Amino acid sequence: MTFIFRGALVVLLFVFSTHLYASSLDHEWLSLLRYNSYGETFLSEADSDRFFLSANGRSNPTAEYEALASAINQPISNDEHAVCRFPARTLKILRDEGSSNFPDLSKCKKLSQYLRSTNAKSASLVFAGYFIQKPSSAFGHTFLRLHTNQQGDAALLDFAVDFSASVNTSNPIAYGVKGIIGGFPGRFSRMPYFLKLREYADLESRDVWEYPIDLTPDQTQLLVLHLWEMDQTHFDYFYFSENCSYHILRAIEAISNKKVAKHLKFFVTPLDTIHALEDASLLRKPTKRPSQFSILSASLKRLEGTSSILARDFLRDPLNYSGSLPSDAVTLDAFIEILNFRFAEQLLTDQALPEVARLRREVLIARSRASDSKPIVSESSDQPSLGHRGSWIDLSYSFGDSSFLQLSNTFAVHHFRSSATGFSNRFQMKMGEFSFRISDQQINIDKAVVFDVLNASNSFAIDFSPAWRFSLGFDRIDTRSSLRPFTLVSSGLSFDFSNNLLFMLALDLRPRLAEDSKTFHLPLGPSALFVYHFDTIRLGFEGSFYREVMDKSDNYLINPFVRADLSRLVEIQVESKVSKHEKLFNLGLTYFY
Amino acid sequence: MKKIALAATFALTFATSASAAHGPAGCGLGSMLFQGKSGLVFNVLAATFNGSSGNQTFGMSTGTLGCEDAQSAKVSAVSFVEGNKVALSNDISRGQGETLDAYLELVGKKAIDKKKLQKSFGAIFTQEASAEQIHQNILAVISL
Repeated sequence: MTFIFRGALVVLLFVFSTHLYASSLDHEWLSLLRYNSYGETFLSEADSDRFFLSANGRSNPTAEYEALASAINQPISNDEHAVCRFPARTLKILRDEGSSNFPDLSKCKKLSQYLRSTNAKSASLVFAGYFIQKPSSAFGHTFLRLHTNQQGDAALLDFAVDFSASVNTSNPIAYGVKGIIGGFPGRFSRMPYFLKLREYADLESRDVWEYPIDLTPDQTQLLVLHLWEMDQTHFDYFYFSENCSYHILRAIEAISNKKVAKHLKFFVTPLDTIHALEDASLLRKPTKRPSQFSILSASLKRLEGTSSILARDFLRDPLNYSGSLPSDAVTLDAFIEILNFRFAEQLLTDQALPEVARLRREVLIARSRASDSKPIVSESSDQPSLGHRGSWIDLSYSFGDSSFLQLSNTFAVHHFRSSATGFSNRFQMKMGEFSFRISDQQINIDKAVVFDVLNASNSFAIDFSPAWRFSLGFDRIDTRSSLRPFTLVSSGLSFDFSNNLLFMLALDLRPRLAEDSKTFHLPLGPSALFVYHFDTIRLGFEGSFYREVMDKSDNYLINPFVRADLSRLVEIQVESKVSKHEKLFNLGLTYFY
Repeated sequence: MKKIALAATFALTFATSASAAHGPAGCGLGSMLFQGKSGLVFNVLAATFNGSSGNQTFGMSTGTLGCEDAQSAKVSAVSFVEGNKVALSNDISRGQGETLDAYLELVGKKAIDKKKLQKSFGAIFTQEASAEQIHQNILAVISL
């Protein structure tokens, strides 16, 4: 009898330990605690001991599972109890055990307080779009909107949760180095959603896209609890990989129990995370909240005749506007948006100069006495995720004065020659381009560009800022020259003749190290950039004429091209490059991934 | 998964009264931006490194810089006005708009005739009025 009992006990223990082992290594548990597997071993991305109960919990999911499973049975006395700190994991374990008795959380005062204000009925992934006028907005940004407003639909009463680095230096060099090596702690934060809208849409003039996340009510609740757990730790913030968008994606992955992060590249951009979540069928069709810039553009386009002249006059210098205020609502609406755009920082930070505040109040009072007008509706645009992927490979064959194959990879995010679907056609943020030339059984580095940024938005018509291009890297002047460091600084005018047109005239300065590596070239001269976007084809031209400042020699580059979309991910291109010293023709294929 | 929903509901039901501070202090954009991290060099670096910087005072467990109303657990009306002063003044001058609708929902006055507020714009947004004064002025107009 004793033998049978002992045998049953051994079997039970075996079954229990096998079940426990399996549960502690399943995807949900590993995701909730941010474990990554490295062969047979595990390591959590969380960088705070407080995130774990077990002494070796950071590298041992099973030990952590056991520790919490044991702690759950202890009575809750205060906020420090494991159940109060880790309610999402607790739910996971109770579900594994088939238990329906969730511990009494009334003693978890902080958690209860959090849940009262953050009880969400659904959630959205929010993408604050590219705004190249402000370089730090060039990649976009993602964060969460929790639909916590239970009584109504007012989005402005919801909460937002984002992940960001706590930057503790204003030294640019330290900022760069620490950002690359994970020297800043990153944390999740919760705030009123309106603050994020004011920051991104109004202050930084970025279109904001809200993608509803396809979650069940239970998963939404789990998300809320999981975000609470995220507050128990920090994560070292790596700008290129484990950044804001990455951690938001991992939070969604954890509660949806889908494997999403494994499809990400090493370098992660916000766009990549949106594509990854869409691929996992976790996002629904988004809606757009137009930026202040978009609203102002739309309000100006509504005007005709005298109204338009008045508004343009006001736009040039509102504080020295000598005309009288209009009386019709539509023109006054434009005046209001002009002030909101031109003085956004002053107004939104409550630091408006007295003359600005006075003028704005006069305009608003005049508007309050005018008749009704239709709300300003900004132009529709393609959602960011409809566009190409954020990285690409180019393969091309060149012939003419010399012939060779060229293979290059670009880390991010958009080239002005590519399809503008989901992007602006007057914008380029190219970063991390590495190009190799293959000829005569030799492989040489042809180009290494750190970044190449172009802003030719039509904002000149509104805020009178010039179009510009800024590039830095290593390249060759022609196929026979050596690889040398260069920079390109270009500034000029962008013309707004058509929404399908990019047309920019500029003055370029392109300093580079000379072939002898001892002197510098300083070519200076005018340039023209023209790209017309047909439905799936772009016709373009890049041309420049340089005069060498040092020795007065001349050079020029004429570079017409035709580019066509074969699909969302594949484009082909035909181009010619003619300079004073060389003529080349090029057939190329681009694959976005 | 039903257990999860049950548990969360349970947690909400038994939540004790919140003790978050009431008041507008620190809920505007000015309190969370421009903390020595502006400037072209910093911005270019931020772009290059795909960075964003945060504000530690918005931690999950520390409320929202004192934005919440103790009873409703929502952002207080005064805090809402402070954080949305520009948009709210736009909307009231036009007699319509999302920010005005959200404010009225927050103060439980969704049914009010918004034209009444529009006509009283000058009395609501007096020179240099604080968020508290604007909120009180709106309530006064609504009660007329």
